[in-house]
Formats: sequence, C-alpha cells, structure tokens
Amino acid sequence: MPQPISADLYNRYRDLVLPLTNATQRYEPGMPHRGLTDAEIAAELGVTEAVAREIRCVAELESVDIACYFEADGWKEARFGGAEPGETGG
Amino acid sequence: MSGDETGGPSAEADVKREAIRAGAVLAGIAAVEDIDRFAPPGHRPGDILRGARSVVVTAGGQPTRGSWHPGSARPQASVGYNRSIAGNSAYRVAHYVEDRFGYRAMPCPSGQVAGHYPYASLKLMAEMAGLGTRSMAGGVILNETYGLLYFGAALTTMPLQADGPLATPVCPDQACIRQWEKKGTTPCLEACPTCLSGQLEDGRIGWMEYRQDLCFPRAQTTAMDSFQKLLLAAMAESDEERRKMIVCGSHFTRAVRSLAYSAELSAQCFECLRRCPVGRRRRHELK
Ligand code: SF4
Ligand code: SF4
Repeated sequence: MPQPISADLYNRYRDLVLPLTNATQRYEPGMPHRGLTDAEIAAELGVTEAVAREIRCVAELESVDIACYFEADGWKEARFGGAEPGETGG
Repeated sequence: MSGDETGGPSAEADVKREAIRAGAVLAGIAAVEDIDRFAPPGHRPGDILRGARSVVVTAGGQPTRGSWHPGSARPQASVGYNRSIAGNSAYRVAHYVEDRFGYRAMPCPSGQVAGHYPYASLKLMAEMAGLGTRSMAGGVILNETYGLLYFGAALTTMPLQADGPLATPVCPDQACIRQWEKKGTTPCLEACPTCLSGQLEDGRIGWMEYRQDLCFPRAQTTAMDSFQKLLLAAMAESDEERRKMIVCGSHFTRAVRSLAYSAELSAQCFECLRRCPVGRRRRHELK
C-alpha cells in the first residue's frame, strides 16, 4: 500500500520531478520520445521508486491551477465557434 | 502462425476477425520486440503478461461521424468516445486466443497505473500494429480512413505475424502541408497553441511538442483530477456557505457524475482535431 509522503520531502523534489515526466511530450520521428518512468526518476534523484511516484502524482495535480478547470468549458465553446470539421481553410 | 496447410484463414486473420465480431472497427498485430524498442522497462507487454510475444490491438469507440457536427462543443465531449468498445473487443480476443489456440492471453489494462502514467502505451501498440501514425495533435494516432480512433489491446504469448508500423505517415495531410507552406501553421497547431507546438519539415512532422499538463483541464474538465482539486478546495474552505457553493455547484456535480457514470469523462476536448482533414471524407459522406 503506497504511503503518503511528508510535505517536506514533496516540497524538496516537486519542481525537479515534473520536467522529467510525460507532462511535456516531445516527438521527433525516429527519436526516443518519452518522459522518465518512476524508477528512472528515482534513480535520477536518489529516492525510492515509491517516493518518486508519490511526488509525481501529487505534483501532476498541484501543477495545474483549479481556475484552468473552471475556464476550460468557456475556452472549448469559444474555440468550437461553429467550425466545420475537416475544413482547414488552408 | 501465418501459414495454414488447410487453406483456411491464417491465425492472424482469424484473430482479427474475432476482434471485428466483438465490435472493433479495425484490428492489427504488433510484435512485442517492436514495442520494447520504445517502451521503457516496467511499461512493456512482458511486464504485464509474462512471456508476451504479440499484441492484438483493437480500435473502435470513436465518435460517430454525426458527433463531429454538434451544436456546441460539450455534447461531443460527453459522447464522443466510448471507452468500452475497444477494451471489450480486446477482452473477447484474449479469451478467443486462449480457447482456440491454447496460448495465454490477457487484456492490457487501459487505465493508469499511477497518476497520469498508463500501464503501457496503447498509442505505441497501435502504431506498431499499423493502425495509424503519430500526429501533430498531441501525438494521438490518426488512421487514414477513420481519423481519430481509440484502442484496446490483448497481450498473448502466441507468436503472431506482426503488421508492423505503417511506412507512410498519415499526418500531416496534404491540406495541412499546403497550410504550413502558406501560413506556417496547421489546423491543430492553430486550434490549440497552449498545448501544441511543432514544425513540418519537407512535408513531414519535423518535431511536435505536447503539453499534457495544460491539456488536462480542457480534455478532462470534470474528470478525476478536477474532482480531487475541488474536494481539496472544499476541505480547505472554512466558510460553510462557500463550501456549499463548491460542493453543490455545477462543476463539482459534473465531476461527481463523472465518477459515477463516465458520460462526462472525455478522451480529449476534440478542438485540435475538429479541423483535422484526416478522415474528413468519411465524416462528410453522410447526409
Ligand atoms: S485535446 Fe484540447 S486541450 Fe488537448 S491538445 Fe487538443 S485542443 Fe488542446
Ligand atoms: S490537422 Fe490533423 S493531419 Fe493536419 S497536422 Fe494536425 S493532426 Fe496532422
């Protein structure tokens, strides 16, 4: 059963963990394109895999401001704007 | 396993037909060694089913063509994606492989193993099974005929002839290449500059970057993350009346409904692919 980690431990590593994850995904054909696994993050930071996983999971949630969730529907409807599917206008 | 002395269908064709019978619109086969070239340890087929050699990837549950013509964005996000069809057909295929051929098989868990990380990448499996290729739109797999598809997978110890990745990328479409040459953008990049960036080079994807963290609130507006964040906000709110407004408000109500019934869960918000030309012909051939 995963144990919650201390806030101290989390705060120490939070900002280091996210850039290593799949939060940003880059794709270049033929190149390896992935973030690190929890085991790889753990090795990078010198913590256990379980600790790396807990930091990542909390950070994934914390990194996005709740306001983004409230604003999302408005953005989608504005973006939608009656677009015809597949008409690129190009 | 592809040869058949009786002249009957090959094992591969047989397994794919079973997937179609079970509701998939397409099925393909990937070799585990192809997947392992990209998937990291801990997220490979063999980590899920010991001794896995092949993956039968099923595709389906995509938006109906009519779903691409909604009156507003939200209805499509509510019904656009049926997560059970590809998974169910993979489940059926797994049983079929065991009963008919006597090899171990199991459906690949389609959910997350922890946080935003999946057990294994179904996109990678679909790509290696030749069902489509990575797109500029966040790397989702686009299929030439259907455009956006969703995937399930059955892992098996059975050696099957793999379809392998497609030789020609589906994305970018010719119309996007023309738009890139004229305006330096594509329909998907134009739709979502927050999450998507990239470049076409010589009519192909040069590079693409996708911000999953920024996509989450739009693609999964009322899903699990939203529920957790609102729950935390409500717990931290000392004012009883304000707490009530959070918990009884429409956003939290939708988030709770998402947990109880998946109609509010979406795969993505569709805006990046709304103007994507791939699969356009199919979408427009209906009245
Ligand atoms: S699903 Fe929505 S938020 Fe995500 S990349 Fe596409 S348009 Fe952007
Ligand atoms: S609009 Fe579709 S085909 Fe065109 S670049 Fe974007 S994902 Fe690729």
